[in-house]
Amino acid sequence: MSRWSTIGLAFFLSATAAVVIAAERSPNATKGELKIGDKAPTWSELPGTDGKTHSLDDYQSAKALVVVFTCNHCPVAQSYEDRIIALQKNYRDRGLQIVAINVNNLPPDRLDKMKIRAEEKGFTYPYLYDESQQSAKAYGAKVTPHFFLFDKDRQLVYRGALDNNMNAAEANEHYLQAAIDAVLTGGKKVEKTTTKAIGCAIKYDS
Amino acid sequence: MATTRSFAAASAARVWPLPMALAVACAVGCGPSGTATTTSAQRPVDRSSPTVPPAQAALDPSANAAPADEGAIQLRGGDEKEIARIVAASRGNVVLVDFWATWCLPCRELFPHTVEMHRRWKDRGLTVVSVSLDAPQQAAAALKFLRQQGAAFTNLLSPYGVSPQAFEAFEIDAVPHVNVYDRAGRLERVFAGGGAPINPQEIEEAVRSLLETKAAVPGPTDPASKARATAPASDAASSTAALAPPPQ
Repeated sequence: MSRWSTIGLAFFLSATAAVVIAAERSPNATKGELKIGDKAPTWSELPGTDGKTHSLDDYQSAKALVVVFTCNHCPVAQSYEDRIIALQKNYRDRGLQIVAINVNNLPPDRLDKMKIRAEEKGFTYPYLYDESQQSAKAYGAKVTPHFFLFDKDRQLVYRGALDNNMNAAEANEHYLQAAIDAVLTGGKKVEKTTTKAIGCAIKYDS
Repeated sequence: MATTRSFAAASAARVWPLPMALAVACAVGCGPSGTATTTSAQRPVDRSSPTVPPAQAALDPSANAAPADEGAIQLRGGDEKEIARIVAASRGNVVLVDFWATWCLPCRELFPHTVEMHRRWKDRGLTVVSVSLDAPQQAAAALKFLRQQGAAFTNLLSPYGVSPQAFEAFEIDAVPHVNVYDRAGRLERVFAGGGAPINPQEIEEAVRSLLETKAAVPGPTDPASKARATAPASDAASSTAALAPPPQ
């Protein structure tokens, strides 16, 4: 091959590689996170603080489904509990279902402690324990809390943070609520589909 | 190996962050007034020997709890531009940036390792910067932790609050997160939380390896370093392949 053909080929290959790499990473996404449009990965028979087991399919009738990976001990996760409770309360009648899953295996986060927390705070949504951590891995959750919103067809329409500040008084951009509004108002597109999730890193055992 | 300094025993220390933190706090704050700093100053401090036996070399934050002048440890506001400015101004040194927060338990467990590396290698050209992602209202709590730890280096407090903007601005997914720049100011190693826990021994090996590399400070008359400066930036995953393990 002539030198120019070699240079041209090398350029073409690296340009292609650059495009492929760029396409896989959107600016705010966490590596490995579910992509917008992906179907909700299934999980089943996870024990809840209510003493029952829960599966994704239990919530087929929900018009909008939020799966949030959270835990007991992380201060950021704790600061969002009231906001999650409020969202579930305000949107339940319109068909929103929130499900919280904890995959942290530290003692303060295990099921017995989760039950205490759920009762103290009055969680109005299932709080599940996934010891295998498979659900969080399948969704690509990185921190607690990490929010994933699915429409009625269980396609991902929003991922990331609930709003723009751990301190509720300072939060003035309500990303998750805006996305829920769009989903529950038939035919509206979610404008901001991805934000950086904030919180304590999830510790994966393997 | 005589010159191996291992933080292996530190893994035991990491299991007991609270008693460790209390030991650190007590070294400076407990006991009859006026004797606390004397106590820590009286402990023999080996800062220069390259052949410290492994048992002594093991990380023990309480042994060198806080410098005699605790007031020298400060915290000031700083964003990603300030980090870049410090890295640029530190050419010739290896720079380690430790992102942490008071609300991040693994960060608090990792921090003593950062303090220890700085203590041991600052005279060999290691610059350390800590960046707290706490909310500005938590500045006092953050400073208190830094003083307990003996963080005698540059300590910045993010201006963004605990928000997506903070993580975006610093280009990190989670805390703890450690970035290590080589002597030419290039980001060479990235240790990211949000998956497998960060291994402080890996950070130690990376820092030691980069300290052992004497980089020519890039300049217009040096064609070799100019070529390095214009080479494509390596991303975090591939840059680790370029570093050979320390000779055994």
